[in-house]
Amino acid sequence: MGNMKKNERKMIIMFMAPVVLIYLIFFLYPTIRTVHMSFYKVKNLASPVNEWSFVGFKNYMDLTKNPLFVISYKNIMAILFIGGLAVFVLAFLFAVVLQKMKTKKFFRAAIYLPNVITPVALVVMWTQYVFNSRFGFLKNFFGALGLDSLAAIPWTSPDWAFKSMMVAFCFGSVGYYMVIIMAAMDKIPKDFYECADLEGAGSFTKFFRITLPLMKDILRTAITFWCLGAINFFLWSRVFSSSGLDPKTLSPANLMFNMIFGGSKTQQVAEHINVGMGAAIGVTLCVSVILAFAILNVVISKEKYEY
Amino acid sequence: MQEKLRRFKLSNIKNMFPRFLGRLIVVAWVLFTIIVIGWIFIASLSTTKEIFTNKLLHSGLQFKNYIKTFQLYNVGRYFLNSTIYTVTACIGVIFVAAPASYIMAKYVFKGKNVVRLAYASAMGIPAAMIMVPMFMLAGKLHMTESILTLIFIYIFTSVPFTIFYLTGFFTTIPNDIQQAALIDGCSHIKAFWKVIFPLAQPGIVTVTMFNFIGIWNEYLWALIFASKAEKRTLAIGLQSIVQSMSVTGDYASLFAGVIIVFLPTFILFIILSNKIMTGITGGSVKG
Repeated sequence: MGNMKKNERKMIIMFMAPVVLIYLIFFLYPTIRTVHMSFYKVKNLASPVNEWSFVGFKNYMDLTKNPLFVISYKNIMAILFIGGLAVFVLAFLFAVVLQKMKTKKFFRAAIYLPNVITPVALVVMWTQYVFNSRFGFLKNFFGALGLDSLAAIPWTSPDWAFKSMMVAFCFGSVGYYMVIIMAAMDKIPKDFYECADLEGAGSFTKFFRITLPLMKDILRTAITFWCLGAINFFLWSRVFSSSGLDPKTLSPANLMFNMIFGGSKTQQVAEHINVGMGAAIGVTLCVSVILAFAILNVVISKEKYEY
Repeated sequence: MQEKLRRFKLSNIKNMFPRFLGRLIVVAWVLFTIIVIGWIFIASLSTTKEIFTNKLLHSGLQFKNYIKTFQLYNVGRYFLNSTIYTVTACIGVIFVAAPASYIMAKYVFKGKNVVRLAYASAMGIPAAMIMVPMFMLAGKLHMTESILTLIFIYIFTSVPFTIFYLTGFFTTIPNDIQQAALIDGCSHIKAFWKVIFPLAQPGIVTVTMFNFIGIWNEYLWALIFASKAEKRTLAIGLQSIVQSMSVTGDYASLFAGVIIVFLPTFILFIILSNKIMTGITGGSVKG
């Protein structure tokens, strides 16, 4: 029996060692390192630690004065709140509508589809086809309806780029949240609704009094995912506009990437490339994630309904 | 009775309009998706001139767009690279994460909760926190140009979700099976690989499917560690085609490129759509 225990311990150590090691090397070490680095001026990625100069909170202070940083945060806040509202309202609407449709599976799959496509391909589909001002979908569609002023909108021009990007990004996101919401709705016992029907409750009362409260847990998870996505917003910001650092569509993660790896050389960022300041942006993102978690836990409380 | 009937009819009409409107939006939404993808597909088989004049497919099917994309833009190379990165990492992460998930699901040991909490929070750590030190580390090891680096990174980034998913899956496997294998004289380790691991196949297939889609579509890490042409992934490659487009104006080949990037995950989705749908909810709703 003692041998058995020894055997068991050996297994636990052997099986756990790789993931513990990966966590230490890939998650813990870099996180601490990035926080550490954010307090230094680091000229470039090849600078050894003894060449870093300590500047305290200066990187953070400088960031608040950097107009690009401020714009990038405004951008992701717009995605988080305006985009989020649109995505969740549509996801709920679709989930409710699909619940009663016979061809539910097909529509569910079709709405989810953008989630499996390489996002770069999605961006190309939108910018090069849907928003194209010469042969684009929107131009032809509005043109055919005789809405010439809408057909003439230059969707990817600076004035419209951010709105267009948000529409395209949100379009693809709805499916994922819809699937989660549908699954959660399926789990709510049908007799709750039958009871409410008997007492004469309308659709809205049923939705806000039964469906929504019983989905709290899943909703919190889903909103958490949405926050994570918005805070880490990078690919769309980078690929959507032709220049990598267009303030209209800039996100903090993209700005950080440019500060560290240097975007195109013509950009003003290149001259004051500062890895330490880039690290500081990373830290602000991480703090934003923690903040979002904390707020969500307070706003959507953890009380559990048993059913 | 009549009063009741009247009320029933009235509410019926009142209910019908929102439902009709809802369905209309859903149908329009899906129609739009199909038109966009369908149009891109047809455009990828037309000439650029036909695309500009809205006369798609006038000169028949232009398969040469695809040939051109492969030859001129090196898409074959990118496709091969993406396949190597994705397949290797998908296999690698299972060999790292499956044994650990099993231990976390079935055994009690010191520090288990620490590991669980650590990995749960790892899902929330932004890539922005990790990328700089990782790039520096790779630089020190002279590995910034190595294919292995990206494979390792894909394995590492997939570990948190894979552990989360498989731990949930392993808890559903009854303890008796392991007991039986142990009584039959297997060692603990052998019992896992010979008996439990094959039984976990459904969970492993589902999580691998998600890892596959995630890694195939990955962009940020590939941008950092696979920027050189011969190491590029399809996503990065497609972006470089878009950039060269501003010079060449070769829309037909660009759309062919989009279809090539899109096809593998699309086919996977067509075959496994139901599994994916239940998988998403298995991962998020249960957890």
